[in-house]
Amino acid sequence: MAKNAWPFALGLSLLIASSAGAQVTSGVLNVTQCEMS
Amino acid sequence: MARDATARLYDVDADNVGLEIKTGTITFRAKKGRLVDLDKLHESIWATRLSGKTGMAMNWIDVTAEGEVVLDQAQLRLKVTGSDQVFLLADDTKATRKSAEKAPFAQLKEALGRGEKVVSVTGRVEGWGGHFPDFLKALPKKPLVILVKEFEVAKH
Repeated sequence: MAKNAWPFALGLSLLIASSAGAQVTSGVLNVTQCEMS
Repeated sequence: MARDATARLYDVDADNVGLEIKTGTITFRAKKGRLVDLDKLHESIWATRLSGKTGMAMNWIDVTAEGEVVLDQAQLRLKVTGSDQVFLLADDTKATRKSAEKAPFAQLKEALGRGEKVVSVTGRVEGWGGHFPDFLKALPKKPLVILVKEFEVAKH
């Protein structure tokens, strides 16, 4: 995986998550990025 | 392109998710009439399998939940509209603020004391963070606690 590419994968997973379930209407999360290259 | 494909595939508006790669910040919003399930979010992050020996971590998550704030057993709780989910509410003791400034949690309690109806709470979810893969091994303990940063009251 290219450096900094992983947030895209996480973002896509969020897209999936947003189509199901319950609890919150919106949010913002912060993650430490990996240094893979 | 992949993002658009996913949005089509899951019938989700791609505008619901924003990525700020430099800071590692991701914003999300549920579709109108829907809600985002934090357990499923946790599951989805796990499903990316981006874990182990990479230095990655979930640092924090702030959420906005809509519902009704009630005092139950000496504990303020937010009962989420459209769900049986309940969040406990607490003061964000780590937040920095001017000395004269009242904590949002204290302001929320005052609003309730005046008889106002609190309909939305924004804040940091306690315990929702940690390094991968440890953070991904188990769901954060329930009930989740929102450390209050902002709130809205019903308009008269």
